[in-house]
Amino acid sequence: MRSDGRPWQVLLVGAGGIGAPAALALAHASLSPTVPRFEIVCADDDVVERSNLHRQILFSEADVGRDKLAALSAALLEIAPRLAVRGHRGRLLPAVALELARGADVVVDATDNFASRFLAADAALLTGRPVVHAASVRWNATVLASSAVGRPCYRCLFEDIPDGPAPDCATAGVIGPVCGVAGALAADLTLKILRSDASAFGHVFTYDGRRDRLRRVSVSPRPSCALCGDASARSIVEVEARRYAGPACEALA
Amino acid sequence: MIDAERFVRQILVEGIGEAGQRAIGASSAAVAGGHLANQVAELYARAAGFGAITPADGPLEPGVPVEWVADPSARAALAGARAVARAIAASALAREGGPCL
Repeated sequence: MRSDGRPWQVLLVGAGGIGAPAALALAHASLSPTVPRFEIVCADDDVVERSNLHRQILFSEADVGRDKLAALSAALLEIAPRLAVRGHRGRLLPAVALELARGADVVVDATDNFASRFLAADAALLTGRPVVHAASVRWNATVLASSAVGRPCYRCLFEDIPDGPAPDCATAGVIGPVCGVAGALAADLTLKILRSDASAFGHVFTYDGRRDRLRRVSVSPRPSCALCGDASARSIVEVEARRYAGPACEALA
Repeated sequence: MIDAERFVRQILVEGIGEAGQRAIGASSAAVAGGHLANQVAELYARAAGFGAITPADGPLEPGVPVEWVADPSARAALAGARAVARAIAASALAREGGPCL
């Protein structure tokens, strides 16, 4: 619980392949009396499609065509009836990113494209919120958390939106349980952040499903980082929509 | 006949393809059980299209130190997901004579 007595607010951006296992793990964790009290605010604008079902394990055939927020809330209610889950119907877009991040205590980036991922990173740092980034494509998952002040942050590692078309799950595919690994790691980092456990930060997890190999590698702050680097290097001081216009990569979550 | 619409995102993955999806459908995943890890594994195994799901020998293990992943529910979800990733790799990639590296 926060000092004002309210539960912590976890902003889960994306109710898809990574959002589902992350939410599942968080919901089960919320049943433990030793876990800080939290609520989930989930942002998504999608409906469940059949091609989602191989990885979005909280949904079934009966949910096809249903709003993902409604389906996710119903599934979480089954697991943890007392966990409050609220929905924000819409994508994380530049116009709302700062407001959404500001309302949260921790941001969980479970989005499916680079533009949203960099937007989540920028909005979280500019509002002073810790953020957990989780991504997967093909057989690989990548997960890292950044503190409220970064150092390191997502841009220390990945700098900027890649030029040209990037692989996503719609074009390159993704193995369902590889998303599960990403979601489980994201849930644990989220819970560490709620416990003020600084060991959440400063590492990147990588998972290769072909070899079932999970690694954790240290990440150093980058003084020249445009988002969290030295004062002279910081060029990202506000959310400018054009920065996230990048290559269109509108894969389904 | 494989359900191409449902498994399209998995079939697209390098190393799976339609033949890999058929191999998954012809395989069984030994993951079921009462622990949360096994329940998560069963969800992923059903979602991936395994032909049969049989009981695991016991609780599935996440295979990481608690310093890396601490929360019991997160560890269980990790264990369940990894078990099915292994099962998919074993059944779909085995066609090529071992994991494709």
